Amino acid sequence: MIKNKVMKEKISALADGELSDFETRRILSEISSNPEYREFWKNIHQGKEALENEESEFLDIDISNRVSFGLDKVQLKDPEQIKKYKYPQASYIVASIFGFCAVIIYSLIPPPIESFSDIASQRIVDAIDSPQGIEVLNNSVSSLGILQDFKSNQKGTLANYRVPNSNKTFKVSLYPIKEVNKIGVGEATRISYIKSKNGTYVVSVSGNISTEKKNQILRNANFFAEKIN
Amino acid sequence: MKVSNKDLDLGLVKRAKAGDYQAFDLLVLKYQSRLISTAFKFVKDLQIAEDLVQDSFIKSFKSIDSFREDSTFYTWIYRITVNTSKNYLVSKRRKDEILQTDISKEENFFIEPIDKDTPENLFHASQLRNIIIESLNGLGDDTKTALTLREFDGLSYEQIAEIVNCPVGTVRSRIFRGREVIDEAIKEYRKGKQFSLAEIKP
Repeated sequence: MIKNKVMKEKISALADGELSDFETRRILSEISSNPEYREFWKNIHQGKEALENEESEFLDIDISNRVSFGLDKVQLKDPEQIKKYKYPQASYIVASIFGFCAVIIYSLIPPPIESFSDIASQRIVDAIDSPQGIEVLNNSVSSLGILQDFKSNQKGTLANYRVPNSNKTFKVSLYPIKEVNKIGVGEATRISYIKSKNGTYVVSVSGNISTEKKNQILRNANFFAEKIN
Repeated sequence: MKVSNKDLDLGLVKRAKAGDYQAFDLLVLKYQSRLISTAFKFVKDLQIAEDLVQDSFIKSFKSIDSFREDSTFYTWIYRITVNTSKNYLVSKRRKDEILQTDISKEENFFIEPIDKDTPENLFHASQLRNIIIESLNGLGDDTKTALTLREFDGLSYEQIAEIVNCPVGTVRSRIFRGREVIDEAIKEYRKGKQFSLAEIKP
């Protein structure tokens, strides 16, 4: 508890540029590895933004996880972008040594225990490969929409919904990431990436409903995927 | 001496240039709301604005080495966001036409209208701002003075210490205490928002 307070006080000082270089180095990894500290950093800046800019409309939005996911993908595709060393020869040598060590260490450690999200992801994968894909989507949408139309095959499931008592429409889909181009860029989309042993999958919600409702559907998708046998 | 936001950000940029993503992540958390507001002014759609800002941050991290440190990081990322938004608008018209042909003819799926930002989102933003300002106003005098001098006047801890006649360490603690109260208020607000969403569920 005391450590927590001390850390947060340092984070507050860091936000004001009042922390030494040495302390900054130490604190950066702590912030990134602790969700509470990250949230505190974010809230400090939300507070600053609210006080500085009266017209700020989107204070309570966080896309940082999406950015970091996107960058992981980018870096995997384009490893030359990772330029951490001044001399290229040195970077090759270091990379080789690091790679060799990683292989040795990886072969010695036991396989990790599956997390909730891994298990849920696997259920979604199973659901995509079966007629249960639409069941996952229907359960995720629950009372928020009435099913209008759907299409399902081994490449994924896409369903159109209408909000009861209004003409608002929205679409929910479940695709393997390699099929992600099926989700049009021009369509306003909220997506969630799901990791699995068989690859990465994407649940997407787009259309004329609020962000909160879209988020709720994405959360439900994880929850109901777990219920599928 | 006034604390320069530029120097603070440059410290994080230098770390990001050395491959430290954690430092870049702090810049994302710091500027995301402001940039989403910027992108939104162009595209008038919150979801797309979020996507464009995500792309802008990705582009900026990939090309962080090309950032000359004579301007601020914010000016640089702001420019990238504006250009990304403009490019999106140019390509959007073509893509819309292609999508309509593809989906409506071949798959019989409707194209939903582009998601407009809802008054609900704007209501939440102003609610959050009110909560932050109310929390600030509810602070004790010493804490409020320290935090106000820092946030509104941009004074350094040393300058504040001179004005309020107390040690720099005390200023640091007071500013932290103020932020802790605001942090708690924001957390409570978010919990309340989640609760109201759960009520929609049967």
